[in-house]
Amino acid sequence: MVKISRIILLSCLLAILSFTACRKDSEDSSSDCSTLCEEISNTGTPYELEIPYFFSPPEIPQNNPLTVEGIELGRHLFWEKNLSRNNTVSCGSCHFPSASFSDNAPFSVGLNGDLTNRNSMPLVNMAWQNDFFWDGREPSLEEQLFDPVRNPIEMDLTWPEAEERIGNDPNYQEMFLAAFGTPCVDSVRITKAIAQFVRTMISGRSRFDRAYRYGELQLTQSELRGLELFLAEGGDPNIYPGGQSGGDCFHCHGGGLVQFTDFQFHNNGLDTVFSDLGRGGITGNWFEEGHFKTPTLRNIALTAPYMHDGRFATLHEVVEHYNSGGHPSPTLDPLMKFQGEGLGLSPQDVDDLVNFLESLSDDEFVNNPDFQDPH
Amino acid sequence: MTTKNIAKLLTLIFIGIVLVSCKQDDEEEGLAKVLLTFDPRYEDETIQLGDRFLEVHGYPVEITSMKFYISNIELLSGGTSFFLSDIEIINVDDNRVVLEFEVPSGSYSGVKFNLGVPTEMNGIEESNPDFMMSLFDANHPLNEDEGMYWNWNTGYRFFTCEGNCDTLDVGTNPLSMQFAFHSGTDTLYRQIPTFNHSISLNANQTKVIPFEIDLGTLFASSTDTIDLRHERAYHGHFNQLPLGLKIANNSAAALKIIE
Repeated sequence: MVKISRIILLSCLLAILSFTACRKDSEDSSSDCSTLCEEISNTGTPYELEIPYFFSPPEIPQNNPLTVEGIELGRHLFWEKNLSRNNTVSCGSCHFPSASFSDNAPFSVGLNGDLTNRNSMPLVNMAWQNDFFWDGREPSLEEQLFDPVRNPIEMDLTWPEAEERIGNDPNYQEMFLAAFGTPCVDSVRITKAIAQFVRTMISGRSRFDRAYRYGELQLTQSELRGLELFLAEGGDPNIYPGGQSGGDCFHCHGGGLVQFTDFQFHNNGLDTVFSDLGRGGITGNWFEEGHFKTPTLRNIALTAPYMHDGRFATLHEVVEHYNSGGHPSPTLDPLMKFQGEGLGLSPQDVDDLVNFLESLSDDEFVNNPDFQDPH
Repeated sequence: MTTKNIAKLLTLIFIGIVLVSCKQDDEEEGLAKVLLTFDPRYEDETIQLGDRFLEVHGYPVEITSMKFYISNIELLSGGTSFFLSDIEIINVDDNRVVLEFEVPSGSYSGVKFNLGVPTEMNGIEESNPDFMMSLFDANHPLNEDEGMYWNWNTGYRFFTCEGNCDTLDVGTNPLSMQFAFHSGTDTLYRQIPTFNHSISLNANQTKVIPFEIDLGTLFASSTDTIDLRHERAYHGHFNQLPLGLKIANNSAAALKIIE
């Protein structure tokens, strides 16, 4: 009898917990708790990504496979201004096509005119990324997508309110039914759909790719010289063993010439004193203070201004920053080997490097009609 | 023999057959798990990233990053071996320092692996013309997102170790100088002698073989000493091969089983 009553008590406790359990979106506020839709498998028409032959297979979460209907729903939601409190801001407001789905301002303007605290990152080849945001605080695309909607500067809408707005729209009801099996709308389905759409945004046919990977055209002499500098070690070989008088770029921006990032976090000598701790602010590790994620260089010519705070207006300024050797700080990355003396690149070297970086722009990607605003 | 006794005998025989069959099945299905763990240590103490210790010359050192590949990993049993994996990455930065393998139960006498990426997997055009980054999915140790690929000319970094040091007694906190050792190229691939270690695994059992990365040996082995006063940067170039050899030799020697 005692054993049975304990089982009944435990069952009651579990039942109470299951009714009050909330997902990630409730971490900030108890009023942000959502009622979740049923998870139904095998809904929608499977969609196979067209991946450039030289890309590795992307990691697609098993609980969010790509479907035609999910992607289309995600595209509508990505451009949906009703996901902001005053119906003026969508994801696309700060991640627009001409800027390779970033923003051409140091900080983006939120729904009330306030500025965000970091430069908008480009949405390029997200299916190959991990550790999202400049400080890598979100491990997956789905989890990253929870943040902007409820951010008081960006879109300032609680998830229950977002779900109600979208759920009351008959068009969205049809789209959710097609994508997820029922017309039910919740924060998980919204973020899953947008994640599906964002994963289709693949860039792999820049001018450089078309020359180097596909043999469709030839790079200019300046672009080729820039590539050479990109892959060369810095430092005068007469002074520094191993030096190649190069730009040292490949150390962080990937010698594989695929995603043009090493996916790591570095302090690249922007400051001696940090106003933004970056990765260190998330991990609490002192040796990661001032570290920020290495962004991709794909379409970099389109994403000005540069760095986590948009401090550099042009690619020339960026290259000159590295040419200067950067500023000292306790957590300066060891790859910034020439702090205090610089790389010694000539003005022509800088121009050639910039020309190479500009060859990483992919017009087909930014003009792809599948990514544009459908509203 | 009476019918009753025949029935009893047959029953006993039947039970015996079943027991023997089950035992054989257990042996055939007898898989166990072995975990290889890797722990940076100095003088038998675990060193976390950012912790300070004194290397052989008395210079304070803080390791802030360490990653390396081990390859052709085997468990040895007498004259035979059980192959565990062709390539794995130990990423201290991300605390990915445990490798888990399913192995047949039984007794083993040692572990063997090499340090680095073997030639046939290293992305060097001349020796591996079919190499393509696209071969490796997101979970593969050789995927670009591990940040270990140099460029098409030199392939992968095999062993990377970065940190701070102070050879001039400047006395700042954190330490005033940086070092970065990135070793790679086929020349610096290291075949490590077998680690002798007896281990018996029963079915469904999990056992750990703990390794340390001896940071003292990393800077000063029995054959090579790295002098941080003037040896603080190595990025794989032929001009600096003497330092590269020290790093490769010492990093291989630094891998030891914790007994």
